Amino acid sequence: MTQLALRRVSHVLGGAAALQSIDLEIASGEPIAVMGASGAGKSTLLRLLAGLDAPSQGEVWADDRLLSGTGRVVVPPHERRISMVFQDLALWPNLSALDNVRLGLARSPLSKQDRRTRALAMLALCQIERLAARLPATLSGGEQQRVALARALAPAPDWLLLDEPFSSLDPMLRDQLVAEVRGLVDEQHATIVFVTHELADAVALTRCAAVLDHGHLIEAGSWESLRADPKSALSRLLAR
Amino acid sequence: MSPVPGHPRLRVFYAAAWLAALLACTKSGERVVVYTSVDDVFARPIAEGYEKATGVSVLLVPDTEETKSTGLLNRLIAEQARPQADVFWSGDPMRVAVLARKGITAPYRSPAAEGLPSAYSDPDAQWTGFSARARVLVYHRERVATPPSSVLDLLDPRFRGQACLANPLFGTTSMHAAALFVALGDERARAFFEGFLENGGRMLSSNGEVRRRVAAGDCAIGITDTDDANVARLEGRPLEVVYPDRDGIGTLLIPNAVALIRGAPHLEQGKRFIDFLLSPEVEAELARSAAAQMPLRPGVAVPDGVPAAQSLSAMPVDYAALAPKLEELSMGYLASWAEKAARAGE
Amino acid sequence: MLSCLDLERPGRWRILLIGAVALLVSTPTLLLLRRGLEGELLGKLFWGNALESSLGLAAGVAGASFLVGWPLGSAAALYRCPARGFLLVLISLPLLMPSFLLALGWSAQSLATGFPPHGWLQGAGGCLVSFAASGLALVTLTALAAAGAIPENQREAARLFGGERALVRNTLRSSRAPAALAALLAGILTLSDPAPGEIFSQRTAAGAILESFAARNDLVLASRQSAALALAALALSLPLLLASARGHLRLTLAHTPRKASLRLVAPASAGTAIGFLCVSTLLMLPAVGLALPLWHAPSTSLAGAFEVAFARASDTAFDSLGYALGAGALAAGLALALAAAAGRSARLQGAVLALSVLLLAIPAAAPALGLAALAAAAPGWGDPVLRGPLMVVIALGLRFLPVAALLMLRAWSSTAPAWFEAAALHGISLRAFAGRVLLPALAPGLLLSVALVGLLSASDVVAVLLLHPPGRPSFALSIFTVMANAPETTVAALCLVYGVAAGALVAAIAGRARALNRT
Repeated sequence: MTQLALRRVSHVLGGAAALQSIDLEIASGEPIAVMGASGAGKSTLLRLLAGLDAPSQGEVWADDRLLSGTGRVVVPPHERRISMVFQDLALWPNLSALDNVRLGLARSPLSKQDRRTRALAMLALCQIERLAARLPATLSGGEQQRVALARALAPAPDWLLLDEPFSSLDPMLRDQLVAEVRGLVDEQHATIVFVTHELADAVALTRCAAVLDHGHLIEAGSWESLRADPKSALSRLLAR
Repeated sequence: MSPVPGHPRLRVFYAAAWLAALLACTKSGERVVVYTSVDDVFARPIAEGYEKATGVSVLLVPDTEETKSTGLLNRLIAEQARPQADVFWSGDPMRVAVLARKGITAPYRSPAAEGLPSAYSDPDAQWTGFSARARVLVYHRERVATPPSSVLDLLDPRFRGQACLANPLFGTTSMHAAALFVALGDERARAFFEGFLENGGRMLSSNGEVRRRVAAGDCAIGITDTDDANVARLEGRPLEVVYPDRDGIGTLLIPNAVALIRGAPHLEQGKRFIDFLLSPEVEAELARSAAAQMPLRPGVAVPDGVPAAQSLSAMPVDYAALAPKLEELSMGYLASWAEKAARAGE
Repeated sequence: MLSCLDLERPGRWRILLIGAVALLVSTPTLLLLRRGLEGELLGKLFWGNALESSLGLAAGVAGASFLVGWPLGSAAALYRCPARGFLLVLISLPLLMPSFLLALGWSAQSLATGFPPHGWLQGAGGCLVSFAASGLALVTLTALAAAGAIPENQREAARLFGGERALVRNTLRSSRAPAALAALLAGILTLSDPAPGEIFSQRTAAGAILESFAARNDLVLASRQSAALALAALALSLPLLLASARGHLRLTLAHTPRKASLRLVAPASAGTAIGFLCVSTLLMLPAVGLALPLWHAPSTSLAGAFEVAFARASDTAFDSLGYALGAGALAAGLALALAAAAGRSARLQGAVLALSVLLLAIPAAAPALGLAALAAAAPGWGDPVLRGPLMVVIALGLRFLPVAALLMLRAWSSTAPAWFEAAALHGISLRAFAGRVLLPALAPGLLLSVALVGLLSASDVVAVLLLHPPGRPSFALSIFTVMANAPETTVAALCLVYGVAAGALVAAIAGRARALNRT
């Protein structure tokens, strides 16, 4: 898959327009940040990419393959080679860190033993191998983030969607994780789609950005292009 | 790590095994199924005696008049298409007469019924009467100086606010109420019930409650059955018993009634059990028991304190004909009276 | 085939599943009620003031249970106090006591000691105290479960911003909806129970229906009255049900993996303990009344009485536990299906609650007799199932399904939508997800459902009387059928043994729940 595309995508959520006629292309290898104020539609956009919801209008494509059409999901989420780190992490509370990652490999063709090996490897990659047997409730916020990341990366996805994964962390830990994530994702050859409020994190982790405002796509492009020709308050902030 | 420690699947297996055992566990061997509204305390020893004597299991399904329930009668009606019961042993003829009218009983003239007066049985042999209780007056010996002699004494001003009887819609009180309407006539019977309420009489939930209230002195006088009165005597309560209306309408005798169920799954066993129940030995045992039931068969030995039925001035009752009268009253006068009595007690 | 994501999305399957379960659980009653549709539909129902009296009593019980149980259960979820576990067990005991025993106990207590005065108990007063005991237990335990699920960080945030008072206010607000619904169910439960009304001479709708069943043997009238009562109950519950359907009664709480801890805060903990002690003492009075005859009995009589009691207990223990466990499991399973179907939709949750109200308002005899008639109409080869213990289990499980439904709605609402979405993204089958994630997360709610329904089933006598295979009664039924003329010491011994066994069962369940919470 070399490209994800949203074509004239609109979505209504709870009676209100969450996205309005979005046209956006995301190229493989070009990590992108999706930014905007609260309620701009960032998480909705991620959910449509993941196939968790079907757009009210418009289409989602992967290259020349239709993923979702108006009101219908054509390709189910697990067949899109997309992983996601949710805002609340969505760790399964009754499973250990290891089992969380292992269960995330449910669709993998690996044998049971290989899945365990792969899961341990991902935990090691995220530097929490020693916490493999612990339940999420007994982990700190940062440790839970790493487990969620390990789980998301374990199936070797092409695309990694991050929905404000660092929002509840202190600045030091956040910086540390941002750096680690960048390294990990590059190593795993996944392309990030990163929803965040934090401009610094977005710039550190991605090469381009799409800015949403009340469901509209205001501007999209590389950081340089946004800096050069700012159309939103965010990119004006960047330009300063 | 699972939050359920140990082996969850093993626990589910154990629970499933328990349930499977519960479902599978059935008694084998010859058996007879007896539904009874006679108090379990009295019925069970008789059933056990039959088991010992014959080796046939008696599966007793008891009920009670004490704390009201929808009861076995409705269970028998619901099961009538294919009954589980072989025998219905009732503490009074009214319930079994209802079943007979619905075609749920089968006629059976037991050879063991010889010697039992036919007046206490259904003429068409749908049910047979034996061992009777009586409706009696009970009073607290320290609260009543002059013993009452008639149920009409419940209207005596000296018992104002001190008399009690059980809900006349249920149990033996309902039969007694119907018998009073027949014996006194509708007008006098209504006058009795209205007068009872006007005299501050209280309607209680059951005959057992009447016994308890009178024994405790909360009420001075009440109407109940001889088995209730005998239980109080055995407990050493300060309760005295009067067989009322010796010189008037007479004392109502309430025989046990036993019937064979139509389509019984163990028909022959049912008949054998009925034969057993109707025997002089069982009448003697019921007389000796705490139920203190009076044998209807003349010549059966009775212990002290249990009168022979023949010695009482029994109320003349057509037991078979009483059931429709009771039905009419239950739908009409007694229902509204009970409502009024409940409101008066609030 | 449903996927994990389907469990989070609207779909026709939801209303179909709720409809299927509703039809399944209503069938036994409908078998009987259809007789009520014969003839004059709106004929005289012989109510007198019975219906108003019952509705008033139900409202009183619901109100009293809520006013006491809601703060008590919420406080127990916040504060550690001396003998907390023991007091919780004590307060749960009335759930195991048949209402007729509670009523007779109050009556005996009043007779023997003069407290409470007989005048207080006569009529509605006696019914209220008899019913309120189990209503209080239900509301307290529900409030405890609801308040106990408030995340630690929310508690800490409340304390930080407004002190202990803010925490208590927040907790009460969170537990209000589940407690209110539990109180509603407790009130509705009283509508179909005639026992206390009969004992305290209070005219009730259930008593009128009992008269139709037992005095008039008029099944047509009884079934019409039952249907009318159920509709009246629904009407009474409508404001609360509509509020629930509109989402005003939030059963949902955000899930957090971190369990909150109990704190020892001197005045609050002491207050909680005193509150529990006062309520428990009051609720124990009927037990004292029932046990009083043992106090004065000679030792030989005592020995004989306990011999009979233990013999009855051992003869019926297997079946009693089986009926209770089976009913609990059945109710929990059906409740899980209802909760999954209702999901997070306030409207569907309201529909489930409406079904619950209807089920609870129907007298227990109606579905039991329907099942008995069904078994009789079936061929003989079905008897091992249709006339075996399973029918008792079915009747009891369906009767108390509403209690389990409320608990499972709450438990389901506490799961996180993101769990399902993450599972969908990773392609986890519904079966694997249910087995590895969902059911373990719902396990505390399931266990509580099994426990509460089991406890309530253990004390039921109506369904057991009408359906038990000959020779296989429950312990509660055994007490019911001997208490008329057994010696008072024997009845007292039976009640005491029953109470101790019930207490041991509750303590075992509480211990299990504690162990689950620790993991």
